[in-house]
Amino acid sequence: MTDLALETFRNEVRAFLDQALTTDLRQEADRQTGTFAEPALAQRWHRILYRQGWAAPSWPTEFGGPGWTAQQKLVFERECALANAPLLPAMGISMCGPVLIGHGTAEQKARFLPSILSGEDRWCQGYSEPGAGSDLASIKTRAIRDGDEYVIDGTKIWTTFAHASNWMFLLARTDTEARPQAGITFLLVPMDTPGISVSPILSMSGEHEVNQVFLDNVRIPVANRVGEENQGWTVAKYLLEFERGGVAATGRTLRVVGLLRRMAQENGGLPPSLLRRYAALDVDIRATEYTQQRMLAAIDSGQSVGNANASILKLKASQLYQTASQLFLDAVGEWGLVDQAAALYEGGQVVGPDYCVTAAARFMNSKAMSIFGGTSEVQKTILARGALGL
Amino acid sequence: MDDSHTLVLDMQKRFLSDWNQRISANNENPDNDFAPMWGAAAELGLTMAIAPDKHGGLGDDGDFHFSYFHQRGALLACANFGAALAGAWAILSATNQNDSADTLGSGAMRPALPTFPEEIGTFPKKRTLTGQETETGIRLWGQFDIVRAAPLATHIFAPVRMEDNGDSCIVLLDTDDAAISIVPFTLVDKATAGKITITDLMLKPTHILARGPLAEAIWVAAQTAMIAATAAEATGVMQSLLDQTVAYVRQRQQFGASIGSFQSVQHRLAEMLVEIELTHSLALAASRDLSDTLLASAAKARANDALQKMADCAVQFHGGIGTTEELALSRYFRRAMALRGELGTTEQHFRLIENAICSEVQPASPVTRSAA
Repeated sequence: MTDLALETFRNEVRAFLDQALTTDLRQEADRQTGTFAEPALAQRWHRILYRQGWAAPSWPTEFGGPGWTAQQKLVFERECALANAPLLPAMGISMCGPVLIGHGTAEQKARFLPSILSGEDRWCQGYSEPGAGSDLASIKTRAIRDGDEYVIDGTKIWTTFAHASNWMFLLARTDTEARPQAGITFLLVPMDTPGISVSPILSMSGEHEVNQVFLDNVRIPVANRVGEENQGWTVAKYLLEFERGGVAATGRTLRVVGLLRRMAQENGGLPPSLLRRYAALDVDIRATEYTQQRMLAAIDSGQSVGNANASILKLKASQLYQTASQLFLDAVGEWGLVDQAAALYEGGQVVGPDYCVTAAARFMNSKAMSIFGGTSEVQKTILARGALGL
Repeated sequence: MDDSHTLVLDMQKRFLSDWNQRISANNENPDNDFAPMWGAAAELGLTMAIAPDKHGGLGDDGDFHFSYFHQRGALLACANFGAALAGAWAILSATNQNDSADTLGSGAMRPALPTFPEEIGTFPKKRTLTGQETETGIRLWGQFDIVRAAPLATHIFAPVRMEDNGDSCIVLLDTDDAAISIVPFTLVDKATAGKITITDLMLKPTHILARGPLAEAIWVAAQTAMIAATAAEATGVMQSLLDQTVAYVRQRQQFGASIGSFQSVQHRLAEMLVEIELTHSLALAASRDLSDTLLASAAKARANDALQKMADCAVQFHGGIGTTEELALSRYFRRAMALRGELGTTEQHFRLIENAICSEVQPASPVTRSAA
């Protein structure tokens, strides 16, 4: 795609966002402090993108994707971030969708992809367990074959939006004899199946995003298996590459930088020490964006970005977001000392100026970014082994 | 330190541990029972213990000053049970307010003291109350946006600028006064704070504690004592975060081993140990010489950065559970956020140190400089 064509596309995206992001949506998006926009807001924005045909930038056109190049996808996500559009949950469009496209049967694609695309089905991810975090292959949740069904028993934790989802994809152990990675199966589970209960876990900020999910004698049809039995690890890793590298690494960070810029404009600038930190962050953001462009240019077809490259992006995405959140917290000054949970989550009054309301909660929540989707330590080990051969 | 210091520290340790158990057992905010807690601490002599020797305390001993606040940080029973006490003693002692000092020592006075991060190391230029001389005393008005513990306090120590001659004053206000209204809210460490608004308060001359350059010097000295206390408290918070994390990485198993057996974990925790030891030394030195404002600034600047590194590391190595409200860790993380922002950010303290360096290295005469 020529530079000119890409600029034309950028202008088209900008024009759309200008009109589609109402003041109301922007104001609500400004108040978000979590990993993703909260479910009701995400749902509203998802419907708007769906009507525009832009809900699933990475999907092939035959399944309803817009047919963009990797460069276009990056432009789209960057413009969304700059306009502070709500950040959609990744679990459906960016995780389950690509997995089904890559590993699902024709029936599964036909059944699940349209409702993921439309936002009608909302998905959550059943990977981590209390005893299996970084060591994901050690999961203990069992799925035992019983005729045409699997019977699932176990528990999943840190399940983002389990309380607002009607489907979960999960990893379960179907073979206890094989080495850990070889006995895992990838399953699709309706959340209203008897035997499933969801218990909320409050984040340090007081926000309810994650949950523990208990599965007690949960029966699902064998048709809900993606890939072969005991081959779920391959599917799981394919998905993790999307989770780690599939979206713009700077999307969350650019949203915080936007808040910082608007705050600075309102307050007549930033002090020199903060300006210097902003400049350093700006350089790091650009370096990351060019790195991602370099990676995407090589694989301009919506396929996996590769394990090592995905790890670089995941590492940088966490660092940038945490650095930006810290900078924003420091920039709001003493108002960052106030707990705004009542205003954010219970409809109470903001203490101090409006721009300060998300700073402390966002800062706290940002700490999870280097933990979920594979900790920074895990990413570095992947890079040392996979890219450096150590 | 001698036996009397050790005795008080042992007593405080038991006291804070008991409160901690109570807080975690009932998942309650210590501020709900703040007055009884303060009273119980006073009965054990803990409010008196940190007083200067001339008021019957042990606070002139720098090692004791450090350990007393370090323990508050490490055991973190109540965030509002902190540095304001050091500030109040510094002011009452310097102004020879013996009656008020007795009230403070007895536990009948629970002090609040507004501090302004952007006006650290000086008597505030902008954010004071305004005073006007009258025949019977002074008339006061103005507001403070964020004052820790204000809704729980019996007294407020406040800076005032006189409207007619620009004089600085320190005044002591009784929170029962009808002219004072306090709107409560919560800080990031879950402690109660308030916005104080004062409308036409008539203050008796006896409640003006100091005036002019003396008031300014006393205010800075009180702030320095609070900054040193906060650096000591931050060191205690860090130490506890390190201890909690070491205990966790010992028991948490992944890949068939404790995660504490991985070198990447070991090395980062070892770096934290170095950070804490260095911060400890600087904070202790600041407590030993409360007249050295630059030393206090150095301690606070270092404590701020080390505290954030340690808090981040603690959450990271606890993994998912570290990001939740489930563990005591989250209270320490939140406390670290508050300590970092109060009584001067890293940038603000660095600016004071920069100014001091500039005054040393700049040529005496600007003329010489431009000629060169």
